[in-house]
Amino acid sequence: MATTTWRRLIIYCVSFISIFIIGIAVDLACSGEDDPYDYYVSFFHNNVQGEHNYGAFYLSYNYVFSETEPESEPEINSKEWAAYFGHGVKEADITRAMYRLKKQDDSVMVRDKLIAFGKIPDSLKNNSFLTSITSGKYDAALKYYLFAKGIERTANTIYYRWDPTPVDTVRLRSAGLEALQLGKTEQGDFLKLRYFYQAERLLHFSKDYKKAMAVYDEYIGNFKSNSHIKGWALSLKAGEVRRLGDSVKAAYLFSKVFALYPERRIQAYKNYNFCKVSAEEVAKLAVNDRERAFIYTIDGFSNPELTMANLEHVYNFDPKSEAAGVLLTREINKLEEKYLTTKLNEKLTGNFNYYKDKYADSLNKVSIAHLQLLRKFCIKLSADNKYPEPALGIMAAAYLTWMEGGHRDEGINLLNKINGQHLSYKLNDQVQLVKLLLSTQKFESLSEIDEAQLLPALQWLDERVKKEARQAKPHYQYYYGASDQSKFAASSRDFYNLVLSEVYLKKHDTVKAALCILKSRRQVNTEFSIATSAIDSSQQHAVWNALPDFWKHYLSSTTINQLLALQKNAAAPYDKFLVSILANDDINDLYDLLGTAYLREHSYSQAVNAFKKISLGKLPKNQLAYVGPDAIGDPFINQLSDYPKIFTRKNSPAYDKPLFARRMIALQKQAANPQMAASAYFQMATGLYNASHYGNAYYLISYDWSSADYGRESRYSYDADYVKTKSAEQYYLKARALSNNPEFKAKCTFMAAKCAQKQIIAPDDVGWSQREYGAYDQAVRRNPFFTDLRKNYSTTAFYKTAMHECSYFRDFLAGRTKGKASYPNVRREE
Amino acid sequence: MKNRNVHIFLILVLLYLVSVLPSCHHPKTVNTSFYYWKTVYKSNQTEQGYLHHFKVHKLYVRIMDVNMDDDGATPVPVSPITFKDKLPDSVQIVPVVFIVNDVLKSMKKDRLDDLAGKLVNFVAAKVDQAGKTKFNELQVDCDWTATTRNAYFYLLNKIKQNPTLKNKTISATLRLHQLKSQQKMGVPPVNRVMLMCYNMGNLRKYGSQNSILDLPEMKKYLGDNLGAYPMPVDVGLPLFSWAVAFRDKEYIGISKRIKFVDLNNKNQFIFIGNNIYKAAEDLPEFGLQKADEVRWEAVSVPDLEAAAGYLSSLIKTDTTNVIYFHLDEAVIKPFGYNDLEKVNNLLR
Repeated sequence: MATTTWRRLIIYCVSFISIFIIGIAVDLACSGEDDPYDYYVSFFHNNVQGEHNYGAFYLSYNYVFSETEPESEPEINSKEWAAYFGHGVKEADITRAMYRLKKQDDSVMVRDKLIAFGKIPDSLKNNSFLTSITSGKYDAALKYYLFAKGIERTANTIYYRWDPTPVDTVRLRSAGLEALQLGKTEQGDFLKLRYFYQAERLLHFSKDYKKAMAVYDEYIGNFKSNSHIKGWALSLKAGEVRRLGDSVKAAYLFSKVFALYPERRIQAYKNYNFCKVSAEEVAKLAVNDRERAFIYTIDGFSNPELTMANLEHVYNFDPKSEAAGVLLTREINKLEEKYLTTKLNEKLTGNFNYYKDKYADSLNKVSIAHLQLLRKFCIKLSADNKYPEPALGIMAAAYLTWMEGGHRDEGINLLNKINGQHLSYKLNDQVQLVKLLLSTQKFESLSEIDEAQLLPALQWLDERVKKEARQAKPHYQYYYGASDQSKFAASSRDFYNLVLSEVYLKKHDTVKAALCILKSRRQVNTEFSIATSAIDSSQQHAVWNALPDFWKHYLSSTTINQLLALQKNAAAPYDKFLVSILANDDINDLYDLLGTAYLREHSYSQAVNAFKKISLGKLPKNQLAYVGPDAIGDPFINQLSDYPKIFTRKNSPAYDKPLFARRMIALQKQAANPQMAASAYFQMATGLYNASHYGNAYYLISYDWSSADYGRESRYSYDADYVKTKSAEQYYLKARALSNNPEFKAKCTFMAAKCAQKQIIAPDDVGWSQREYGAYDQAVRRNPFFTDLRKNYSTTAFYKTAMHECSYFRDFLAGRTKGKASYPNVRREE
Repeated sequence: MKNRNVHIFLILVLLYLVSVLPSCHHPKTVNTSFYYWKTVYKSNQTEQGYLHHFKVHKLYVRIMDVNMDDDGATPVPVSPITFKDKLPDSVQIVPVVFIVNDVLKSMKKDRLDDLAGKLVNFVAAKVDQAGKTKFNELQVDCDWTATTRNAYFYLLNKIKQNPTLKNKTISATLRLHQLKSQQKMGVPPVNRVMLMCYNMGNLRKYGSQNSILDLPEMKKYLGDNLGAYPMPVDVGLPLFSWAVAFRDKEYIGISKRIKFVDLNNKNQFIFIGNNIYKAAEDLPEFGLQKADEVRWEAVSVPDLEAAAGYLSSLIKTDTTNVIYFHLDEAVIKPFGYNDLEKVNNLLR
């Protein structure tokens, strides 16, 4: 039935598109590639200065920040043409007729030179430009238009090296000479200049650079006109000069194009760089300070290293230059990239696996030295009062003060200097952000954070982020377009995650730190910008707990209860503000986290109560376990060897968290009965062991599992069980003490030995390499319980099993306790 | 009586002739061709003359080099030929593509597939620009190594499989060391090879050797290897000469601007001995500083004759294709028609 098919089609399409978009989001999150617009922590937004004119040269690891020229060449040309006609011809029509014709219209007009007889294609018959030039009143313009269109296909070739058709230099040359002739005979200046431009251009494309340059020198260079055509011709001349061997002069000419013709600025910038000459050499050709300023501007834009030289040159030569502000911003962004990002990420809430460069300390010294020079410069910039927005200097100096840290009031004092000044809205926003950072920094040194004072600034930031999201335009031109328009969202994200949460942690307020981290994750364009519930019945198996990793690793039941209380009872406006980040869907996840925290703390009854608050009925199989069906296990299955793992047996249930809690409660009750105590303790020990990294049900107390967790140093409070299996060891020993059965006692001892082994700190690549591990190899062969086994249980049947199971034990018994090195021929059994 | 003696004499002569005849070898057919290695094809009377005189049917025209682009990651055509004139009707074009070995080092199959397709397209278009409606043979020139061997052979197979090359011959150049070490270097999957009997010595080593053509050097590599090669082998012989420059006995390059006549200018060069000349003063027009040395390497007719004679004894096939490198007036003029006839004759 037709309607059903359409509906299904729509559903498929929508699903496909949503998954595609999510796919992109996941790709962005998981991909190794850095987002070129968001790859370092930045609170000093790069677009505070010179966005229109120099936005393409903001700091980026790409060649240019943007490939879009500041102005549009077609628009500029169309404006000039419209002025030529005086009135009656629309610029949009000119642009269409010159730059945006479809192929079939184009060829009709060129082939059919009798356009005056009304053969404009129907689709263009209302085009005011075409109707004007065919009206009989603008025959010269018609002639020019036909000439330019006629040579268009030969001249406008795409540079594709595998295209075997060579450029038709012969035809280009003759057309160039024809244009020159037409230019000489043309009466009107407007078209005359354009013919000369075509002449130079076509001769240039025909590779006759000498002749092309001669055309410029004789006919264009001194032509009296304000037309931008002169700039495009100059750009070509610069290219001719370079190809004819004078790279320094060419670079100089490109710098002039860069300065005066924004529609060709990026092109001139790239060409300047192709010349590969030093700014000093080029500056020798400059005739005034303004030209010098532009040369050093270009040089500065292509320098990714910390440097004061270009900034100082440009400012000294032309203190009014907008480019100076952009160069200044670049220097600050460089410091953010090289210094600030590292400094903030090294902390607890930052990237845990952040790689610290071994040269980091010396690099830091260099960065700090540069920071101080830059700050001096910024203060001078303001004091001189020559730069169009001198307040920029104060604001930047204040920011640098914050970045360096260790100053109490200096930053705020600086900002106070510009209080009451009327600032541009961008600068004003930036000032607010810096103020926020400085007040937060001040609170670090105070005993209490003045939250009432902080609140308005935080609310302002939230509003600013929302406004930014509303104003964002869809970007299809480039892959990471969204981040370029989410500067405040990114700053907010990093502020909450790396700055404000740190302040709370220093003051031991884990609740508020946790809320800051959650807020950080909820900024737009981040992976978890919307809360998703663990309970999602459309999934085949349970999804995940969407709370931040920090919560899953560090929050105790006490803290979580405080969070829940705060969420219910927040009274102070600040508390309400912070807590508002918790969405309804988060509460389920929070109860899951609470229950898990209780499991970690061995408070099983409370765990059961916490889990009750989640409606499991919507989960598949009603199970609260965030692993797939093949990884869910029965933690009470006892194995002597960790591998191969047995997950479940026939008639043994797969345990989710509530079931585990209930079973442990039951076992605790059993343990009170002397007849069953030993067995109960043994089972509890086994349950605890299996709920560790090494067992078959790690998911009971941990939300993640990594092979790197094997025998690692403790980080989290529950590592005592998860990594060290300490409680399990105690319970095995308790079980042993309560029994008189030597076989059973031997087994308990062996299990305790397994636990003790996990407490030896293992090297990172253990199990992955055949190399010597030194102390570790020795330690595993000198397990304290081995002595115990040999001394007390050598006559049991289990003893033989133990020997068979454990090669370390065999090594111990044979006296091979020095590790692998002493016996290179010993076969290692896994 | 007299008649009987004459008969006996005639029979003896006949017997003698019959006994001698089998030891004469059948003259081979020698087909002459030339390489065209300039980036612009222009009709030239002298060059056409050679084509005409030697009844040249095939002209091996270099279409392009293939090397990595500036980004170091994309193989692109380098200096592709442009045709100012069309090729003469009497001559077939054999397009030749030179592939720089480095290109093959990091290429996986999908990129080799892509390269093969682009290469064939490009060649076909250039053949068209040469004024030919079709070509019957494509030659690939590459100094492959043991590490790039698999990639190269894969590429050749892919080129062969291209529909444009259906029923056409594909040939590859073979350098002396590749002929000798067949085990290590493999045998390329082509229909025939062109043995490059030039550039055999050590170009960059200081000394008075002739790296272009050196018979003792050649003999080290050839021997039985030539006759035993599992496919037809064409022979390439050099006609060119060049000036190899050294500074403090270190190789600094080949000077394209020095002609032999310049070396005989006693104001500019001092003759040291053998084929070595020393710059008497700074000569920036040649890219030389005072005391730089130049080794003039050239190929003489006796050298070519010696090489041809040696090769002839090794070639077992009935037909020999010899391709001279290369067709350029300045290069071939020193070799008159008779000179090259002599060389050809020795190959028969």
